[in-house]
Amino acid sequence: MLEIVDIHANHGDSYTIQGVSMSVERGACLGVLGRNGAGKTTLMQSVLGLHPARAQRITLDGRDLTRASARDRIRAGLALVPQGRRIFPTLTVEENLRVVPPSEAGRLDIADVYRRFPRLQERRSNMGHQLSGGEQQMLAIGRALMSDPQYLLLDEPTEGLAPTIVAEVVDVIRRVVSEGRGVVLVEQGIQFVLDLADDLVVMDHGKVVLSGGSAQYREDSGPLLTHLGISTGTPR
Amino acid sequence: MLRIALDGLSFGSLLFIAAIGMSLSFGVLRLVNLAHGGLFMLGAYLASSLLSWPGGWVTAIFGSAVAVGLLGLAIERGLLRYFRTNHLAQVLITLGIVFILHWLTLAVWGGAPLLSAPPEIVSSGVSISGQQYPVYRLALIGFGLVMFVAIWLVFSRTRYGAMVRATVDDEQMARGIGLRSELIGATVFAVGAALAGMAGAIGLPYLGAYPGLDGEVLLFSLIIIIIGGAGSILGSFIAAITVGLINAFTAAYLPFVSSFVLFAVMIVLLIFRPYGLLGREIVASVHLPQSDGLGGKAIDAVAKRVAALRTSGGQP
Repeated sequence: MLEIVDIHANHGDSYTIQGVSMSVERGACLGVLGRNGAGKTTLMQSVLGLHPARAQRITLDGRDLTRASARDRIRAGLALVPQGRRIFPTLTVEENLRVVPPSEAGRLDIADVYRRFPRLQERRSNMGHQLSGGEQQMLAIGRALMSDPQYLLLDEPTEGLAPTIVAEVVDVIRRVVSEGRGVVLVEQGIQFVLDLADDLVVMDHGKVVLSGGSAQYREDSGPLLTHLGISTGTPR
Repeated sequence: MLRIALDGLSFGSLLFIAAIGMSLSFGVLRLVNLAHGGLFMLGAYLASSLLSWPGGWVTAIFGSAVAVGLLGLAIERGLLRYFRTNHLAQVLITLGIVFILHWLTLAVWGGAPLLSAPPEIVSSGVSISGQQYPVYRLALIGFGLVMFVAIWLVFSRTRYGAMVRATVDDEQMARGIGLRSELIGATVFAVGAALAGMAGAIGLPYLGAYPGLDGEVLLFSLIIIIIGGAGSILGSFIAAITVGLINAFTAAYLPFVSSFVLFAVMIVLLIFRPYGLLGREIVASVHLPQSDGLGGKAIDAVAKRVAALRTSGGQP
């Protein structure tokens, strides 16, 4: 289990993450919803160790990573697919994948990544900046999987993608979960998260304002919409 | 004419080896290293002493490269890594190192210029246009080409090169996939310093070693970085050869405006290509902690004081 207990972070003078706690089991998907500026991206970067944060406890399968560096957290089995993809533009597709160091569990064979994303194999010699948005997203996910992580943090993986590509991303996430990896999925699209997540948390102003199993909200998403500040569209 | 061109090519080749380290340090680490010329000068002085050791030129070249490379590593690990985002502090620190190296070399080797004969194997001459031309200078051209190809292959064809380019592209994300971007930066800085030391040693029969050599090499290196583009290996090579040729031809035909022509080329290029021939915009993608610790705070305080004096027109 990936367990985060009472994590706090600042962004400049802003107190962005205010005591968030959450957990996800292997083979499960935790959805994180929230409006722009709720602190979701800072949370993901803080969990990986890229953003300075203080937490009461961060454990990965019982192993304490509270004071571990980003590199040690990645070696222990965490990986991030960042918002905006952030692939390396001057590296080829193949270099983007090969440059990833192995974790303690080892490293995926590059052929395995190409099996998941055949389009990447076709584009293996192309520079990162020559790829379409969808291809870049596939590469960002493939790059994160290269270190064979036990837990994958996905930060808005469908942002700016065409619906057909979004469907591909859904399939990829389902497969990742079915392989026994834990997934933390940050998104703004409620339906997308409800389709994939077993549990979810809703963040607002750096705090968790709602949490629970997602099944209950599939039938009645009213409470979610209220917390996300979206009108239910009830006619007057 | 051919002799002048060869002079330009040999000087340009030497400048490439001298400047590439500074270009990579700025392109990869965003580090402004004004001590780079001092590292070149130290390499030349060290080589002049190491020549009397067993192994002669081999010991002198590799000994200078290793010693100056280790000094570069110490400078980066001991000082500069704490100021990755503070260019003013980098300027002040490396300027301090320039003074230290200047006085150190003066104290150890004295103020008289040192010059040595080229290595035995390249000490002869070949007939070009009916006149003897030193093989040493032709060897400089060949060595410059070999170094260019070697550095280019390392950076474009190896996993280490890919890691360096990934760090240049997005330092935070490089850490986000588990790369030791700080260590990568340190090795780039050390290798750049080693190349400067090696260039100083190789250039000893050409330029010699004397107080003030550091300033001249630094100026040429800056021009090469501006023309070629920071962090671009091919850009640095083209710029170094161009600078060498301009320097040789203007020295032969327009000696009174030699320096002016170099700066004019640089200024024109800056107007039309602000990031150099093959450079890219330097984006502040370094996400490391700001200066910290007592030393960091002291340097920050000095940097802020200098900035305040500058904006107040020098009035305290």
